[in-house]
Parts: sequence; structure tokens; C-alpha cells
Amino acid sequence: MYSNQVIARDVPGLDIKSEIPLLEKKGFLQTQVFVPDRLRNVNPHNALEAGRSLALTTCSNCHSLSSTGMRPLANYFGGNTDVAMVQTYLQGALGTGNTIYMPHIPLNDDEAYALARFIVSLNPSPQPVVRTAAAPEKE
Amino acid sequence: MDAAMLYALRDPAGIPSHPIIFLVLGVLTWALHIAAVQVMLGASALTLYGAFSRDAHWRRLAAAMITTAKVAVSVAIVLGVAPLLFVQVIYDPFWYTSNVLSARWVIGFIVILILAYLAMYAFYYRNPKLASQPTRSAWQMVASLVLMLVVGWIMHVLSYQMLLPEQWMGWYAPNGNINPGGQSLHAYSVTRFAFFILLSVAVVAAWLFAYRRYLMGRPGEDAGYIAWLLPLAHRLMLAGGVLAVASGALWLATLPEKMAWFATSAWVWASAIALLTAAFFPRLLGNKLDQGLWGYAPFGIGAVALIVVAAAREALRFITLLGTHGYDALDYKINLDWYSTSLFFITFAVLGGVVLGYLLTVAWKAGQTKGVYTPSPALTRLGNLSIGLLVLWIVQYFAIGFYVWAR
Repeated sequence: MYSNQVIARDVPGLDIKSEIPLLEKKGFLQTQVFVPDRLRNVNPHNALEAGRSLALTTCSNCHSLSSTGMRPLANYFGGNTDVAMVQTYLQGALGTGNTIYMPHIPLNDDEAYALARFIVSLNPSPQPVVRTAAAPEKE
Repeated sequence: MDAAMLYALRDPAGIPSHPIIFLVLGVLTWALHIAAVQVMLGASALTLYGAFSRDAHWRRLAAAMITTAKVAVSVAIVLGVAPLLFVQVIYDPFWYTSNVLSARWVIGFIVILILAYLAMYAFYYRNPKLASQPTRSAWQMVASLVLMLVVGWIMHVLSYQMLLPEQWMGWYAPNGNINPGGQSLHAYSVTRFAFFILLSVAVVAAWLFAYRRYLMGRPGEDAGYIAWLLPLAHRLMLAGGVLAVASGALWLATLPEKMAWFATSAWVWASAIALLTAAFFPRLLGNKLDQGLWGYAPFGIGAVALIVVAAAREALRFITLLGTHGYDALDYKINLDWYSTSLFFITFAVLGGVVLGYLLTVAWKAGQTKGVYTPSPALTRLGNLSIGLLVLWIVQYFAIGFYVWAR
């Protein structure tokens, strides 16, 4: 079991099943108990809050979500304000379980975007960079 | 919060023995724990009353009760661990959620309890001759009692919040906005808290009967003081019985709708009969109180009554969570672990029985002896057996650990 309470592999002796396949299929927001209903599906209006809920569920056991305390989350992104870049990192490194000392966190596209939005918002710089189809990069 | 969500919060590893074992042990150990808590509260209150009195008997009682209270705190803490463990084994979705929702208070509980205990010891050290000298720093004892009530209140809230899973999301995310701060105590029942606190009047009265009987066994004790204790214990027992019934009735009258069934259940009738029996038992005994070991019987009957009350309290939780929320604490997945289950019961019965038996017998006999106490050869053998069993337990513990590691 990871420190964020996700069971990462089968334990046949205790009849325990890995939760990773379910998370890959349905996502965290749909399967976690303590998520307000209005945040279970990510949309442009709730992405930041949904991202905070994800950070509370998957990150805050090891990373402080404020600027102080234990291993503040914002410090690990070098002040990056590019949401797409953070999202790529989340899905590429954490989503595949290929980061040493970090749990496997399988985020779908919406969840990775929401969490990236929240992580970028922790940065004290003015505005996050958000790429959209209409405007590939905008400040 | 539907049943599927509650079950999702369970420990997927299951539990090492049948849940009924944890349920029953939880009731028994909670009854012992609350008995120690109530002796502590009652003894603290008597200490305070005596500390402000000029009556020689009251001052002697205050001196005895402060030593009782400080020992009762440590007994309450030790006996409090067991029911805490049992409840978090079979009710983990409820207990942990309630704790996390009021996380700051859970941490504060430890700090406040330490301060309460320190204040009690400070008063004790400031008043080494409370029976014969004026009281010093009485505020420390007042602070101790108030802080003890605060930690009791925190534990009450944590237990009560468990019963209200339909409100959890509202507390975690009021209006859908997540607040993970854990700074609030969200739900309470003043009448339920008052019932369990006021029960301490009757419990400490039962304790006084036993204390009086204990003094009667000591050679050369002040007969006037022993005689003075009897009507005081009777008055407190009567007042405690009335307070228990009145506050219990108030609690039942103010139960939330989903728990209303409890007010007319057999559990309540059984508890009422047990408490009234305990309250009137010393009067029924009359002069027999001074014969043989009958003087200790009111506390024994009181302990049985507390077990009945503890069972009723558990029934309220079990049936409410099953009936209203579909959570059956007895269908927990079992991964039977014979070693840990056997070790628990052997430790409890053999090691606990022999070692505690030795320590309590020595303390008892030493207290009943004037001058230097020398244990009998049989008791000394029991002491040596206690040490041998402790060594054996430690050796097998590491031997099993090494075997598991090495194989």
C-alpha cells in the first residue's frame, strides 16, 4: 500500500486486489469516497478545485500544499507555470509509476489537467500558461 | 454516505480473528475504562470539596482521594487503549473518519490530557500534608478537573460523530467546498455526555464503600473516620442513582430520530435495572456491609452495572449503523491469524493474571499492614513466576520474529 492509501499490487495470501486497474479505468475522482459530487467530473469551472481534491487525496500525505511544512508540493516544479508541461510530467512520470520513491498515480487526462492547474496555482507567479486548441499558448 | 462507501473505507486486509471477539472485548474493556474515568472524576471532585473544607474528616478524605485520582488517571489511560484498538478494528471507517474530521482536537486531546495530569500532580506535590495543613494552589486541582472534562468531551464528540455518516460530507465539504483543516468539533450530545459524567457520582460512592471496607481491615484505624464515611457513601450513592436516572432519561428524550428506537429498547431497561440495583444494593445490605468481604460488593455490583451500560452503548452504535446505514460490523473479512490471537489471550489470561495478581496482592497486603511488610514464601514464589513468565514471553516474541524473518 502506498502512503496515499492506494493498494498497488495483489496480495493473494490476504485476498487483497490491486486498486491500480480500477483507478486506471475510472479515475480517482469517481472512486474516492471523500469527493464532493460537483467535483467528480472535471469541467472548466471546477478544474482548480477538482485538482485540489486530487492533491489532497494523492499528494498531501507526503507533500504540504502550502508554502511551509513537509516537502511543499510547489517546490518540486521549479516555478513552472505551464499547465500542459506539468500535466505531461504527471501523466508521463507518475501515471506510469516510473518515478523513484514516488507512488504510481494513474491520472486520466481530465484529472491530470485538473491537478496540473492546481499545482501551477500554488506558484506565486501571476498567471498560469494554459494551452487550448483555439490559442495554443496564452498567458 | 451509502453502505458501499462505508465498506470501501474498510481495511482490505481484514481482521485476524472473528469480529465478535473484538466487539465483546470492546464492551468489557470500555466498561473498565469508564469505571476508572469515573473514579478519577469523582475522586477529583471529592478532593476539591475536601480541600476547601475545614472538617478534619473531609481533609483526610481529600488527601486519600488525590492519591486515588492520580492512580485512576493512569489506569484509565492504560484501560482506554484497549477499547480504542477494538473500535478501530471493526469500526475503522467510522472512527478514522471522525478523527480526521476533527484532527486538530485529536492531537489536542494528548496535549490537554498531559496538562490535566500535570496540574493534578502539581496540586499533589504542593499539598503533601493535605489532611493537616491548609490547602495550597487549589486552582491547580480545579484546572485539572476542568481539563479532564475537556478531554472527555473531545472523546465524546469523536464517538458521537461516528454515528452520523450522513453528515460527514457536509462537514468535510460544506456547500461543496472542501475544508480539510480538521479544526471543528462537529456534533455532540450534551445529555449523553452528562449521563456518562454524572454516573461518576454513583461510581465514586461505590468506591467509597470499598475504601471504607479496606480501612476496616487495617489495624488501629480511626473508627470515627470509618463511621463518618458510611453515611457519606450512602448519600452519594443515592444522589448518584437519582442523577444517573434523570440524566439518562434526558439523554433518551433527546435522541436523534434515527436512534429513537433505543429509548424503549430492552437494552435501556436492562441498564436501568442494573443501575438501580447497584444504587440500592448498599442499603439492601445494611449491616452486612461490615461483615466479611461484603463491603467490597457495592463496587463489584457497580462494575457489573457498568458492563450492562457499556453493552447498551455498543448496541446503540451497532444497531444504528446496521439498521440506518447498512454497515454490519460482524461481516468483516477474516484472515485468521492463530498465532496473534493465541498470543493475545495467553498474554491476557496467563501473563496478565499472574503478574497483575502478584502486584495487586503485594500492594493490597502492604497497605493492610502496619510497619514493614514481608511477603509470604508463597507470594515470593508467585513473584519469581511472574518474572520467569515475562522473560519467557520476551524470548518467544523475538524467537518467533527471528523464525519468520529467517525462513
